[in-house]
Amino acid sequence: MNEHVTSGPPPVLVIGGGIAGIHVALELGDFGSPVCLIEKAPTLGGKALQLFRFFPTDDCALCVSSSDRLFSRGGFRKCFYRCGITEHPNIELLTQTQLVAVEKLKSEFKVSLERQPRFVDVKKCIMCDKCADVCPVKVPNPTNLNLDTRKAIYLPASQAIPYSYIIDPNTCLFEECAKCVEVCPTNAIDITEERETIEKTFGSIVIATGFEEFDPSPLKEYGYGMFDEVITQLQLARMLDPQGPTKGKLLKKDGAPIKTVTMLQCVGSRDKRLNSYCSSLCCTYALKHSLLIREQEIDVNIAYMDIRTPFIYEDYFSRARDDGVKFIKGRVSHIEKDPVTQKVYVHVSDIQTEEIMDLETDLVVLSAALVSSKGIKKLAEMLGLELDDYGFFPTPGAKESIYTNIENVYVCGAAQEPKDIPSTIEQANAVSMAILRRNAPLQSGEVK
Amino acid sequence: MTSENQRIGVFLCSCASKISETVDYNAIIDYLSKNEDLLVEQHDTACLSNGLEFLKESIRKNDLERVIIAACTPKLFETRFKTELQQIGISPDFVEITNLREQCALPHKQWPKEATTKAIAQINAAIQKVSLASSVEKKMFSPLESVLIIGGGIGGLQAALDLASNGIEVSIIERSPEIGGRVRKITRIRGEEDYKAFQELLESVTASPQIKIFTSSEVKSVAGVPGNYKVSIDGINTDVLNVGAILVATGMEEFKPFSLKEFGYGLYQKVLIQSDLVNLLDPEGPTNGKVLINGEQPKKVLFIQCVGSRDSRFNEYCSKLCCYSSIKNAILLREQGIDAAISFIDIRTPYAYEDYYEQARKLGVQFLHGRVSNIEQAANHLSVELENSFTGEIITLDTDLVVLSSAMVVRAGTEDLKEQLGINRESSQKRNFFHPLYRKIKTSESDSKGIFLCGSAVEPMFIKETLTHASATAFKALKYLKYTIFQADLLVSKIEEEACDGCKACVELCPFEAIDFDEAKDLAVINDLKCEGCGVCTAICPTGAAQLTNYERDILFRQIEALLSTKKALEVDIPSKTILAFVCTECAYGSVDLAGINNLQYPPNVLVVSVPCIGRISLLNILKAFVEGADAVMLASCPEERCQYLRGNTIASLVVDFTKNILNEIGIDENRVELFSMTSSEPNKFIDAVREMNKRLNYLIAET
Repeated sequence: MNEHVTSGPPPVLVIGGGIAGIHVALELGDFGSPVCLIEKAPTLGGKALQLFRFFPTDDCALCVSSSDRLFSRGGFRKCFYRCGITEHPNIELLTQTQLVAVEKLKSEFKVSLERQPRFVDVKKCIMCDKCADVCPVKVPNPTNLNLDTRKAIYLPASQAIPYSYIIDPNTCLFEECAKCVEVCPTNAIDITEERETIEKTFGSIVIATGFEEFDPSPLKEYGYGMFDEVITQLQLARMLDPQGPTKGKLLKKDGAPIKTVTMLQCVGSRDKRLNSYCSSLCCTYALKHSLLIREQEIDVNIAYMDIRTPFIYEDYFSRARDDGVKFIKGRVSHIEKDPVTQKVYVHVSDIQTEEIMDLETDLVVLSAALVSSKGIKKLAEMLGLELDDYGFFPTPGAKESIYTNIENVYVCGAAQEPKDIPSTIEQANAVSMAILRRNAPLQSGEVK
Repeated sequence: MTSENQRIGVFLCSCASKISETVDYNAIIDYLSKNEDLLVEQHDTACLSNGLEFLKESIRKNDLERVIIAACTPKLFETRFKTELQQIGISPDFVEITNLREQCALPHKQWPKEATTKAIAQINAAIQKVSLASSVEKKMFSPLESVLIIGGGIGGLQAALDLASNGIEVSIIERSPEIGGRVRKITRIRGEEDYKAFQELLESVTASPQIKIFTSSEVKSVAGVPGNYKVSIDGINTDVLNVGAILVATGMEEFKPFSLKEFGYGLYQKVLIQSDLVNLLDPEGPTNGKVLINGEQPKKVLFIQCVGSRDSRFNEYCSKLCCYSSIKNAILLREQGIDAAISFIDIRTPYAYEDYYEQARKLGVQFLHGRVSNIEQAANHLSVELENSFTGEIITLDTDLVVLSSAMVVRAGTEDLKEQLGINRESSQKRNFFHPLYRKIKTSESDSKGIFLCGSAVEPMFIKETLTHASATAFKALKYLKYTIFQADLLVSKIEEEACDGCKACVELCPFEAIDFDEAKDLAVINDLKCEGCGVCTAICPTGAAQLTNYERDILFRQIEALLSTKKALEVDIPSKTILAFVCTECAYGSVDLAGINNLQYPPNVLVVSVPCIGRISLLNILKAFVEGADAVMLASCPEERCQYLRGNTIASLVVDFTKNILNEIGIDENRVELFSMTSSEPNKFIDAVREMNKRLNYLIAET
């Protein structure tokens, strides 16, 4: 037995604190495995923080399976803010942290983690907001699509975990101001905090780094980045969130109501120039969003090639048709904005009617491709991982989809390939099973 | 119950004055100090280590047994406080956290005086609760470390291996003479790598001494309790198996579309379904992998998608796998020199399967958008009528062989199995697959503890999805069997035998079927291991015999009294209308908290009583609220179909309807009671509900 690994289950490194990473950490932690969950953002939650609702249950995205260790009764799911991950005795949470180096030893991995300074001590912050009150710096808030503002010291999300504020080092005035330091009742703020390198050893590594939405700016024909009226589905999700920048209402930038929304499917997917694969989720969530938009009595058009709604997600398609969503089978060639009238037109040829249309619309929503996360290539290099051409993980047809080419390195969630939530959780549980199989079989009895 | 000289400690946390800048702590301390049974202390940061030390020191010094911490929402640090205080011998059931931040100070900033009154009312209610609380028993749950897996396909086999490797005794029961299921032939067709993986799985399972296999056998009956099931088997061996958990891995099969007469399946020899084609493509099949009908190779094959799927006559869902199957098989046909065409409505090839779609097109497979309306046998070919979706025209195609992509359905015999196992009682008619407990995050569990669902018995799955899901299910079952702590807290209902009338209402309505009936004694009997603590039995029991531990009638009544009488007593000058809100601790409580977290404001005339499930609330609780002076009563619950206790909210809805009738009879306007549902990410729904009730009160006051 290697002297670096303590007796008992070897510790597990989970890279990525989104829904996938959170679940692996909780499940393994419940079983007594020490887990270190690292996340590069200041809060856990990943994409779920922005998406308001998930299919197929059309309820909260920020929803976590109850830890059996922490909750013996009281339902099977917990809202994010009270999922208890900060209280779990076997989970160490390191946000603002990334993997910078790995050394593979015989049966373990020696890693270097780099933690960026938060400047606020998570063990002392009580989220009283006094710091933000006195902070003189106001900047556009990227979480809310830059439609509102936040301070240089801020709470990264209303359900942020860990429960702590953070200073944005790019906009803070540091010593020139330091008002927050004076006003903090628990002396939690240290503006001199430095980057930290942490060395640790692990028996297994789980990659749960998730995905990104492709930025469609290079596709000039769609006008993304050029016209305010063109947004992506992720941005739309944020707007439809009652806690978002427009309180859930779809409005133009000047506050005028929106009467028509036109969605374009497969932007950057099934496209030889960019990604030849299908992003598999966008049809379902475009339809999910359509239903929410129809509730606001706004017209919806969807331009598509194939509508891909597997199994019961077909319900979204049927409901959308019943709800009057207009479906146009055809490719959109370009989006135009009339410089005089400022009206926006979607130029599309309908394969079914052979009509070429210039659809006037108030808002264009691009179902942009789901691509691998930015840091995955570097991570793969460090670990020697084989990725497919798109930065996702290739998986053989007749095995569980959680293995990588490196022993004891697993992958789960959308990092493996674009994936919905039910499949993500299944993979997280399967990874937990694989890691347990690797350890000595458990004895029965109370697990510490 | 508290002993004579029992003192209760009330700790007010100011949250670094975040609470105390709205709620007047001095006034509260003055008020509470009048009660000699209370020890009142204040701290700025109870949740941090200095606060926790302070708490513990004070409790030790003053020999306190029951504690109230008036601070932020219990949902954040209840676990932390209870764990810390347990270290010094305080039972977690004697620690009550009162929500003065998210549900008092934060949403009522503009009404500091009323917020202070509300805070005192909340503390008084907490005092009642904690005084009457019982210390909950802990029972060790020792399930048998063995499982029965129903179904010997790859799902069942994968789960078996995972469980066996962790020391669990596994029995697999398989209906047919051989394990391996549908996938044997499919992997043979797909190629060496896949077939090898399949064979390895089979070999590992057969080689494992922990795994017993019963082929040509079926489940006859299931008895016992979670953790100790007694399953009797019918077949080659007629055994009774004693197992701790059961995994359903019965898989799926292809719908036989005889009743869709337009396709001619069963009528014409050359109309096949996908699994028939698989038999022909199987290198070890009757034609050695060559597609031959009566010794002849067809020149043209037409695949027809969505037969019996996406069809309101049969299955509204999409069977998910068939586009991929048709494309893969069409490619194989092209390799045998056979022309192939696929008629479709949408081609569904997720992620990298899109590459096969492209490959098929490159190989000359024709893709025809449209619906087939009729197939007829002509002299030596089949004549297919296809309605072109673009032009509306009907075109007639000639083909030698038709392959229908018929719907994937759950295995025959499923309804019987559901009944034997006592699961999925309310599954929708449209989808006969096994219903998981909660499709978003719990696809491995059924609605019955101890019974798990594995693989394509839940929904159509690709091979790797089935294997992944099977491992996930094995994990959940392993956790259930090995992890003993979670079942131990008996926050369950109890039946007071003398009061039980034998009416069986609770037996019928318990969402978890956790209540048995002892015919001999004419008594309801609660099964501790199945009871989830929702309180439905307590709400509907006509005699009060059924009582949920720590949410008994007395405890709720005293809380209601304390809240309303305190408010009445303290706001002498400006009496306002009062709304008593019963809130479930799951989604609804989250919404109320989030309203505070987001600094949304609502009037402070709402007093909250939280219960595990809204199903706990009975007619009596609502009437009690009115008797004690509430002007309106609102109930807040998880939305329809999302109740964490399966259907507590549906039962509450019936209770509210019934209550409205009663109220009308006794001269109280029924609009004073309402049930609102909300997910927890919709705090505005809670605010809207409060606004609605206040509106009604103003309106009603104008009327009388």
